[in-house]
Amino acid sequence: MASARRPERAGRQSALSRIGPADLFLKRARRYQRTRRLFLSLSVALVFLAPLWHLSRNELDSAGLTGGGRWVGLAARVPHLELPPLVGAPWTVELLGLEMLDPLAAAALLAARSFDWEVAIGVLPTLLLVVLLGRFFCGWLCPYLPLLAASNAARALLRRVGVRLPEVRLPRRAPLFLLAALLLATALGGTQLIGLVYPPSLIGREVFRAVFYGGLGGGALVLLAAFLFDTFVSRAGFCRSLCPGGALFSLLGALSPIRVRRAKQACTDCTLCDVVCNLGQQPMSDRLDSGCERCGRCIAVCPTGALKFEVGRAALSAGAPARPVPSRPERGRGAPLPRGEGGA
Amino acid sequence: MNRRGFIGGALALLAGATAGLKAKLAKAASRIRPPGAKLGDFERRCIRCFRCAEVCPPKAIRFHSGLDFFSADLPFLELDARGCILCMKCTEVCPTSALEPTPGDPAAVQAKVKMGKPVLDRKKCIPWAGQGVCRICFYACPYAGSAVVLVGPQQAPLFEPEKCVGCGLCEEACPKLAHAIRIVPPEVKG
Amino acid sequence: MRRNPLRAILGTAMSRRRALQLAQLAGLGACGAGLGLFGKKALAEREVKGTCRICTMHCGVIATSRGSRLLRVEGDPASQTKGFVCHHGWALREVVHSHHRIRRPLRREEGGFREVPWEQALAEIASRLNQVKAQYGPQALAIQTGWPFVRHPLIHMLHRFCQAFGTPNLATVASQCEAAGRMGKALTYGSNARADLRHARTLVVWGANPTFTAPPFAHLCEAMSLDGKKLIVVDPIRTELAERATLHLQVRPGSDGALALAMAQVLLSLGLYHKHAEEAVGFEEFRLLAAQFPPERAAEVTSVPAAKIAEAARMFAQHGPASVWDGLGIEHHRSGLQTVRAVAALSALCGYVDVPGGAQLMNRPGPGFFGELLPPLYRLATPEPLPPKAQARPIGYEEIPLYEVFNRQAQGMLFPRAILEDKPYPLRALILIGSNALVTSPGSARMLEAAEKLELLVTVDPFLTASGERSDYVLPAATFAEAVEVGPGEEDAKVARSSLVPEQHQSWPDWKVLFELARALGLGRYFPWGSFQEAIDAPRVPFMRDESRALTPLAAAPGTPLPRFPTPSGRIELRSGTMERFGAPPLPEWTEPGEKPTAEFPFILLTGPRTRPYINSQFRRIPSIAGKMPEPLAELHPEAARRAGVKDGQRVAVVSLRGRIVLRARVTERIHPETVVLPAGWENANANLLTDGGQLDPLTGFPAYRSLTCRVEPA
Repeated sequence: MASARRPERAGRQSALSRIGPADLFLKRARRYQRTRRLFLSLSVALVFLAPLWHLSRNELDSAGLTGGGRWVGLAARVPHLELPPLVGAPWTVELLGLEMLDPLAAAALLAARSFDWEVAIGVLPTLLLVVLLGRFFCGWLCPYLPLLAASNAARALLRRVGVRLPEVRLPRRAPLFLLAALLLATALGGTQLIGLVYPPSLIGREVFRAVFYGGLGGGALVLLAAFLFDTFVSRAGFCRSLCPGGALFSLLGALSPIRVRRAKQACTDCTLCDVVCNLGQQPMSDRLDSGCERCGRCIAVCPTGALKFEVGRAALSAGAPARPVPSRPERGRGAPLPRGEGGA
Repeated sequence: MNRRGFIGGALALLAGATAGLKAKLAKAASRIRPPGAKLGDFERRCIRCFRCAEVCPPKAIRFHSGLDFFSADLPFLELDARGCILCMKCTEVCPTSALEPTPGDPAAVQAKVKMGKPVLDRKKCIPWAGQGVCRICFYACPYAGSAVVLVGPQQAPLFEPEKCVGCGLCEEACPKLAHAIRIVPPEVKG
Repeated sequence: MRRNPLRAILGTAMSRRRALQLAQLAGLGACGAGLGLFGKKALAEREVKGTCRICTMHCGVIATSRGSRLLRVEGDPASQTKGFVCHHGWALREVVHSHHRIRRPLRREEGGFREVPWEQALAEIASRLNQVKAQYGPQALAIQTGWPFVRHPLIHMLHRFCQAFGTPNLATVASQCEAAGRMGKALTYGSNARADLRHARTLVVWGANPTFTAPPFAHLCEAMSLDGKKLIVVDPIRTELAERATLHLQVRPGSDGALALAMAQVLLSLGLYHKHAEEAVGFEEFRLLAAQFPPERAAEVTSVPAAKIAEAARMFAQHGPASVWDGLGIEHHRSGLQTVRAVAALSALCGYVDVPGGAQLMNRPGPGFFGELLPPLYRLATPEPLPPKAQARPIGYEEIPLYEVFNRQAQGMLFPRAILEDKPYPLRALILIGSNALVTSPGSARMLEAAEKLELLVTVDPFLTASGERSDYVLPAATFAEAVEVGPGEEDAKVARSSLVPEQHQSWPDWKVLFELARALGLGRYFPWGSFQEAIDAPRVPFMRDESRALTPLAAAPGTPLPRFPTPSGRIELRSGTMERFGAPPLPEWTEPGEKPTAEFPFILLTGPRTRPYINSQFRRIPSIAGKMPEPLAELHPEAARRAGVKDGQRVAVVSLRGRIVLRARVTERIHPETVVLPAGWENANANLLTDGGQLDPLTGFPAYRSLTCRVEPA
């Protein structure tokens, strides 16, 4: 184990000694991760906070019918606002009066011919963000990420104790077909199905259930299935190959001007970036597509600062550099554990 | 077991499962939806975000369990446990107009909201059965005097389905011993 | 390469970072599991039978609770009220768990209240009470209570507390509620009486609205118009009951006495009275008095057509046994007591007293009779040591002796005068228990002024009321649902059952507040009991009579027959010897209200009839109740609205000599055309800013809430 790690360290150190100014960028890259974790924590916190807040608020408004006595202090300390500061989370949230709707929900409503002005207004800010930043939601806000991190940690642990884990790869276009099938089913079935398999929506509901009523519902089973799939079948396989939201964001964010760019001169071909990526992108060989979640972990992990975000003309498109890529890090070698895998 | 038996068994199992699912779906459709839900349109619009339940002060909104498959996590009101206080907050926060926005004043609510209609079992109702005076449905009703009136020496309740919004406060308040009032979805024949 | 799995997990190979991450995950998992586990309601539901003490109907209820949470309150079919429960009982769970409740004792400081521990609050109150006692004497403390003590054995403890402290100034809600009716009937029949709804063939509901005030029995009144029975409603408001009545006499507020005398005149002149009525004391004098009120003259005074008066009188006399259900509507006038007596005289004339279907005497001579005119309200529990009798006389002893004689209490309506003018002596400390006196006393402005002058004002209440906000200390009281339930039998009850729910927050039941305050005052020896249950199980003796003011001779010597009517004379007294003895006009004369409509104040102001959602000043912050009536409304007749130039739904100012309040108007034909009706108990539009704490019935001290004058103008 330790032997597997040594060369990386050496490479990193030599790179550091060689490239001076990039050091600054490395620090910034670390800050990306700090900011990203902050966003993620806030997102997860909101998932818990929204029901807790409303439980206590309702307790005050209904004189005890809610049974949220333990949390009543939360709302009692804040002056009553006509407009609730936070409603819902995370796939449709009203934060300080700003209505935000997941583009996936909007797409499903469109499919069910229930798209109206209210939906359009709600989806506008999120759509704008997705078009600009691509699949950033998956890397920065998705409340499934803690579970993914847990799954990665479980994988690492299992591998360390000698369990061989398969690494199944579904076809690259599978998520798009799945999304299309779900939308078609929504259109034909007359009921909104996507929320039943979309982890952010499921997590929001299950947390709400646990806080409001105690206990979990059927959604927990879907989440468990996703977790098991990620752990035992394919690393981040749900996010990569099944999640309808990820598929839609990849599609919508195909023209996003923000992307990861490699400085060829600085790159030492250490593969850390490829290894750290949950979604199978390969920055080291410039093989990135719209599936990139802009999490910046590859940037942070790069020992020489060769990678950075760049704003420019959109070069990525859905499935453009669709060269099948052998998943190098997971194959053969005695399971390397680079920094970053396991972290979300 | 021969092949024919196996196929027959599998078919029977499939038929049973389909029937079970159909029954489940029918049962799901007979739930009372939160105020502002339009019949038939509701399922197409509700994205199961739970925001309605979040802001519901009396915690009246419940959800279909995972066993209801395609209806899982759709909101409904379990009126014998908790009635709707007609605050209309849920319609305010619904992001997709699955619950049509309605102002909270009583007249507007009565004009627009139709969650269900009351069905009274006179054999169980305390005054109709001649067992005493009760009137709790009258006291509970937000439209007492129009949606429910009291008649006769026992002050028995008489419901006016046209005027009733189906909030179920009467069903909640109806003594558990009697449990004479039931709110049924508007299209279901009581 | 194979490795030892355990070592791999725990070994040094695991970096600190990974350990932290794992710990995070474990924490998250634990949180989730915790939520799932604790969120589940593990506790079982339990059902407790009890009594709803929100109003005086005391409906039997079954409360379902889980842990310390009240889930449902339903009527108990096995109780006297046969399963009835109204929206107040139903909302009890909201009352008990309302977050507006006070959680800990509050002390007023610069800039607001601060929570203090019970021990500290009681010690400070005790020391300030002792200061007041040293400076002004013990009588400078008065205690005023609301409903919690009505028909509850706790009143004995309160008497005992006052006696121990040395003050005679205990005033209950009787100072302005129901006592006048009790006194009027007791002065006439010798005992309080109630209507016999089940056997009456005619029912007169006079100045009452049982639909709102007595809901478990309202259907009996409403059924009176069926089955050939007759229902007569006398009320300036066309109530829901009036709509079902055979006859509705829409009387001008304050003229009920004249109406009763006119009806008596019809009975007497047509000879429709019972022959035994002539045996009543003062029959001839009463006949002369009634002769002054022929229906034609009464019609002018009461605005009820003479023909209708005569019809009502004939119906009352000729249609079988009749009962009268009289309410506060006839008590809250300058001549309230005499009006009650005049109405009571009608039953006496027709021989409807103590017969089936007529007035049922509530306290008849016999083994349970303690030589008093009233139900034995104040039998003290008296294990030794018995506190000494207070030296001073209660406030109201001199001016309103009749009230003191009947109720053995101070007349609370005179407290502001004692505070502001030191008459008859200074009053400097006031404890309000379950009373919002600053809002519910007539002439609130003066009451507020008095509150400012007090050296100590303490409020004991579950909620922070308007009175609480002006108090030096507010002590959190448990609601009745949290206190030990006292079982049927009321004042002399011994049966104590468990409470419906456990005490909430740090609130204490009233008995505990009293006992602990007594201990803090150094009077603990008079309260040797550890719980209320022990206290009410202690042996008791009847209340000691004050012979100089006794109303009846002591129970007759053994062997002599008991009189039918427990008056001093043993007969019905149309002319009351007792009243004569205390310097009051002995005949039920009618006097005009203190204020008559003028050009400036053209309308009669009637405040405080019960509305369906509320009971007085309570429940304004209980969602399910407040939703039924979010704001107060000034009701007036279309004719009156036209005269005042206001429209339905408009914001109007109602102005009297005392003050001005602004609220929305509701124009309705239900109201007597010369009258403006205001609901009471609203802090933001307090009708008592318009009423007058000086206009009291000189015989009972009851305020004239319902016959003052006002004007209405657009706000």
